[in-house]
Amino acid sequence: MWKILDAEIRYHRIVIAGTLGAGALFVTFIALSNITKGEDSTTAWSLMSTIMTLYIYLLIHIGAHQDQEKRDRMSVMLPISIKRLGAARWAILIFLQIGFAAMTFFGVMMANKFDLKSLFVVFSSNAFLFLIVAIIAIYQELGHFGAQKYRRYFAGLMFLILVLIGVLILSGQIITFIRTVFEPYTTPEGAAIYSLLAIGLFMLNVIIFTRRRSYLS
Amino acid sequence: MTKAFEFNNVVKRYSEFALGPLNFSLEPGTVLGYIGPNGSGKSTTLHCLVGLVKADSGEMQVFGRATDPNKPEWKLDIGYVGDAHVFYEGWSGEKNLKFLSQFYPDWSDQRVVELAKRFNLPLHKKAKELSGGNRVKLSLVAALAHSPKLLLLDEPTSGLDPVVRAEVLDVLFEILEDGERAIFYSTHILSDISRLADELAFLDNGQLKLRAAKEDLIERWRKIAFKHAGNNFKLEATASHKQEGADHQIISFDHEATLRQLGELGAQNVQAHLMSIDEIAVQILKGAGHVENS
Repeated sequence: MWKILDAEIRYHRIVIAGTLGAGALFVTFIALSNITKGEDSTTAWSLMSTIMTLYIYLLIHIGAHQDQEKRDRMSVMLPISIKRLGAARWAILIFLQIGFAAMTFFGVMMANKFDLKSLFVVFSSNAFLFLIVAIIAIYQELGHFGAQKYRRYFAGLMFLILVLIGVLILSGQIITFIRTVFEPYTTPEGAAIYSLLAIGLFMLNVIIFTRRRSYLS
Repeated sequence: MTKAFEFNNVVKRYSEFALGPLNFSLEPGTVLGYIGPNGSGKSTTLHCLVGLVKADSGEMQVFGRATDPNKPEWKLDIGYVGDAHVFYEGWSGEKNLKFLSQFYPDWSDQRVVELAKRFNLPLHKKAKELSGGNRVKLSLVAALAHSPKLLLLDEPTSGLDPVVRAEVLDVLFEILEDGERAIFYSTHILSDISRLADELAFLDNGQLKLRAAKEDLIERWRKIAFKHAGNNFKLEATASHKQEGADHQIISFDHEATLRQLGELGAQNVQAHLMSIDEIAVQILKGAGHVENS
């Protein structure tokens, strides 16, 4: 498993180093500029959003890389158990997530004095992001990306989400909705639920990978 | 003796195609050519064996070990060159091979150097910069560097120009002539395999039609021409029969039996001609039902 992880990290080292570096520079700049001092938690959220955007960029770069499926095809033929391979494919995300969790933590710390609430926010936000990534990855693992019949479902789902957002905006309920979704971020229960969900989806993803009927790209 | 590989009732179904049930095996040290037209299921057979595709039912073994994806030791005995040559595209050939070497205890860097030299392969180039021929060569080096006991080759020369194809085959045949490896070579180009194969298996539309020793096929199959005025007779062991007046041309898959019967019928000017493996394969894949009895 570690050999695959090591290879993946080395293969993507430039983009990983670049993105982590950009995130670190951003956090350092914010720290030196003192612009967050005395601000409310909105600043912390903004910081986190920026760092998370960088993280998502990195994930997209790695996940959507043209030859990812080909690399999987190569790895499947190696004398390594399919479970370990499935876990190795996720280990790189966990590795990257740790780096970005640290950044978000520093980001939050700069805007707020340390408190447990901030710690829960870091846990929740990272788990939430991981959860979203896991859902997309499951969709991809099931072979639904690019499949004609699922394109319609996906387009339909996107349309429904947009309609829902539109309705919430027009009815003035959007802020209440966002608060309802993100309120648990600051509580230990919320952080625990998001983390457990993320771990569950991570395991589900490994299981789906091991049960694929084909590893042909 | 433990088989190099064994298929027991292996079936793989797709919406418009089904492979199997396949029941066959390969003895160590034997070269088996797996012949069939495009779309006959050759690649699917190999994909099932190396674990790229999961069979719907049946069992496979490699040197006595079940092809369990969670107990992958059986893959240590396999060298596979598939129809697609997959690497870390941004890495050099050398770096790709270094990565692969970590997984095989019997990997030999010296063998890599020797093979790369034989193939005239630029290992310093990135995989994505390699030509089609060089990608095949890199796959072959990767498949041979750990001296596998079973070599699986899936149309490795497909898409190569004739010069590179001949070059790859020459070197490959030379390397494989030691006779120590079991080789399963899938192709629809018979000239690729006819020099090397001990046995040939013919696959058509997902079904194994015939498996026979190459020498046995060459020995038994004949084109036979003869003269006979009558047409009210049925010859045994014939794959085809054409008649123009008193002139008959048949293809026999057991020429001794056919010639004996022609003698009994009083046929005249009987002439039997040897057939090439290509000609025999065409007849087998044309699908005369009684060919199975040969």
